[in-house]
Amino acid sequence: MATQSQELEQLVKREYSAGFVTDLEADTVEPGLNEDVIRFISAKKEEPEWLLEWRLKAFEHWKTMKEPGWAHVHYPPIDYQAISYYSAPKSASDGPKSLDEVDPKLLETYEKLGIPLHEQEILAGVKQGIPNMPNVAVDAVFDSVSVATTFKDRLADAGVIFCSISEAVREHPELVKQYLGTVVPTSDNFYAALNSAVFTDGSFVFIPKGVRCPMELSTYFRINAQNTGQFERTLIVAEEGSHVSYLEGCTAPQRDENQLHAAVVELVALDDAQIKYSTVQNWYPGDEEGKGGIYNFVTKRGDCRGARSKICWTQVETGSAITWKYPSCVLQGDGSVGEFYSVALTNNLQQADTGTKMIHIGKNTRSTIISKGISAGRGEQAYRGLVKILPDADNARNYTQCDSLLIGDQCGAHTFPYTEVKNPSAHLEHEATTSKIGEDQLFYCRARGISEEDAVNMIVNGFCKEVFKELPMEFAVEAQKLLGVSLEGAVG
Amino acid sequence: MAAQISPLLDHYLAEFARVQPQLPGADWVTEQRQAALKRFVEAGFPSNRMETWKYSDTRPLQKQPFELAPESTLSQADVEAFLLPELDCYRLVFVNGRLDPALSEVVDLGETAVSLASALNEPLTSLQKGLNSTLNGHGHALSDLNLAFAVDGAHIRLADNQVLDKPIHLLFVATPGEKAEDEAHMVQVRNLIELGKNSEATVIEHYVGLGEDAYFNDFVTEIRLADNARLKRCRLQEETGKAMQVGATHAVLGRDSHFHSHAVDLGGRWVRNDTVVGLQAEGAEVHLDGLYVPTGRQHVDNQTRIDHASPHCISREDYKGILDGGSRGVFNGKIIVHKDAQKTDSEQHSAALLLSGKAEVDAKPELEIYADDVKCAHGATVGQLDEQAIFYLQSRGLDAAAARNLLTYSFADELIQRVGIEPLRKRIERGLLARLPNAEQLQELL
Repeated sequence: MATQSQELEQLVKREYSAGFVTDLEADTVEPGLNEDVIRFISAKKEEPEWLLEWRLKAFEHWKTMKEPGWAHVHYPPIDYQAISYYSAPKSASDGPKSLDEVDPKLLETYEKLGIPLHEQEILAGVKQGIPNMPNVAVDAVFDSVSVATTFKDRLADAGVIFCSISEAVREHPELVKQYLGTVVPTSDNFYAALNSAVFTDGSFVFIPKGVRCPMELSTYFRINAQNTGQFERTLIVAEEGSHVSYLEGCTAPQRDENQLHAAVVELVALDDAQIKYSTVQNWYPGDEEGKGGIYNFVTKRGDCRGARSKICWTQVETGSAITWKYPSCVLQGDGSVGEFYSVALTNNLQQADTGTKMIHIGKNTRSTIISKGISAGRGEQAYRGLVKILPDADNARNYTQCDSLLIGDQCGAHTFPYTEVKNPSAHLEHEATTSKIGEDQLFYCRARGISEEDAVNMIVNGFCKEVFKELPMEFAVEAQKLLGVSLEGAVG
Repeated sequence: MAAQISPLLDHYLAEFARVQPQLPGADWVTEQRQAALKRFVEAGFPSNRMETWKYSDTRPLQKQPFELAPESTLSQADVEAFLLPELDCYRLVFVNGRLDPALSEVVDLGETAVSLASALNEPLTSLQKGLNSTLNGHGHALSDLNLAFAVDGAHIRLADNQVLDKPIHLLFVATPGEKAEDEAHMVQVRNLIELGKNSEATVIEHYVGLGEDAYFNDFVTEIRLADNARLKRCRLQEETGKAMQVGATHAVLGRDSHFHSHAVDLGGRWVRNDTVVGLQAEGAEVHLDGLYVPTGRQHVDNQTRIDHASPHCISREDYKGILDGGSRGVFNGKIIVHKDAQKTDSEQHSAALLLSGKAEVDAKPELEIYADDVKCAHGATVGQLDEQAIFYLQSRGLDAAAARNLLTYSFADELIQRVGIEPLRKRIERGLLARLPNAEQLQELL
């Protein structure tokens, strides 16, 4: 018995396996936020005047805004003057041209994250793609500067632009200027305004008319350097009839102080275009006392601007101390489609307030929302969604399903689904259930020699299957593993 | 602070000073009234920045200062249209909030149902514990306004093991009476229903109005059920087309008690209902049924909150709306399962039918769950009639319009059937029919 409980204790206390710090001489700006910091960031990134103006305007607006308090989460007040708003790995300022030029410590980090070697090489732009490996292009954001971008040539052949947003500002200013801030305006909300003022890097994707992106695009985000909030800005534009699938995965080293992460993602889909945006988020959730951990306050919004366009959000949220995230679709084009598939898991003292907004503006627009929430330990979790049908959106259709699974009697699961319907031809359905893992289900598995933890994993994976099947293959496997790791110590 | 009070709130302070001598109650009541008025003035009218008032703008209530409706008398003929003649029941008629004994039929009822005003005037009264005790902080500013100004209401009190043989019909009539041209009246009613152990009662709360003028009806009904008590409560709202109504029902349920509420909103220009139920002891069960049928420029907001504070409680909720014209319906159903309220069984449904392109419905079925061994489900739909059902009826010889009407009617009738009290059910059905297009043709079909 004694050994067993010891083992269990070890299992419960198993530390966050991706928690490590890479010591790089970061080129970090002093903590604090003022116009000078914004000018510094802008100058550092060699940005044109209009973008600086844009940032400053956002900053002016941000100063008039109040931090939102409506989410079902609790955390100590954030001191925005105590955060450093810029940090770049020093050696990256010149841009690496071969693997040798890439900081070895950076490569070490990738290794620890489990990015395969050949992928690392491609990551650094040394080798071309190997025929048999999966077609995944990776744009790595290490702290705030994109270090390397892969598969560039193959993508370039197809006419696809896939680069860091700073590079896009330099190379394709007209595109960035045309679309940046058109989906999430600088004044949209507190965190979006903050992001607009100080965003450091992120990805830019442009798929020209009629092109089907030849591979999945992927970004690994990592937060490094203590006290550096990361403010990415991602912009994806799919022109008429194009198609793209974009993956985003995250993991961060262990920290004792809360780190702020306020990203903005904007998607634009023109006529007949399709964008699929998948996220696996596994940032450091804090220890079992809730110490440390990332604050993930993200604004994600897709604009189905063209007729028959489609935007699909899939997310697996297992990390972060606090998640505040509502990937949304603005269905402007007639016949456009918005989808949202989500699995959110909270364990220990994690809190998540997540959901989506589907704004139906065009005629014959459709949206589907499938949200699965799993709450364990003392986790708190809320689904907050809005389905809005505007007066001109004839024959709009929405289906919403949000299910919660509770593990343990200390956790909470909440549902706040808003529906606003202003058109009589709309058809909306909303369903929600809350349940726990059945004793008989567990007993059945145990009777067949499956350990309790494996049984719980199995049941949880089954619960989430509807969402996992929407993920690209590689991610689906990773997501299942993640759930298992995140649930460690939740049962028994 | 005093300098910052808006003229409108100032009016209510002055109005309170004016009417206070005629308000019933001993000193402790006056103290409660003054405290409530203070809370109201501090909070002011709810604004739609508040989450629970997001979809209901109280500006219509703030357009004019309301004065407490004066005493008025009505003849039997005036209220004849609102009686339920086929129903064998006790009846208490309140005119502008005050009990009119001449119109009431309370023979044999004794102390079971009395006017709240007379009860408040008693020197030693159990009310001291009961009044305002069910709100538990879930009231809003307008409930405080009610406490400050409440003139009367029904106080129903059943002893342990008492089973009422007949339903009690509480009829609340608002009438302009003799009033100056520019005056607008408010009616402030407060009801208190207390059921002893193993007792059983049926109460019909019926709100109606006379005349063409706008008035504001603000009422609060407090319900307290002791162990194993059963209460069936029907609230039928048939206010006039210009009336504004803010109603709050707060119920606290004891062990194994049973509360079934039917709420039907047919009239009123601007209506807001809050129903708050606390399942405070094991085995309590609550059923909330609601039907709202606004048309024209009507606004109906139904807010419900059920607190599962104890294990093994059951809640069922079913709200339906049929919206026509430029009307707006709001439904917010909140279910909170508190920590340790294991084995909670909760179901909630809300459905809305939009008949017009200008109507709007905003629904939010909320769940807040802090216990793991629970069964909670909610569903919300907004939509139109089933095309296949319409086709079926057409293939049976009905024209499309009649088929639609029939299906619309049956959509609501499902809830009305549950009311059970035949004469009341008939009245609701007639009221519903009158609001649907081509009522005569529909009448023939039924």
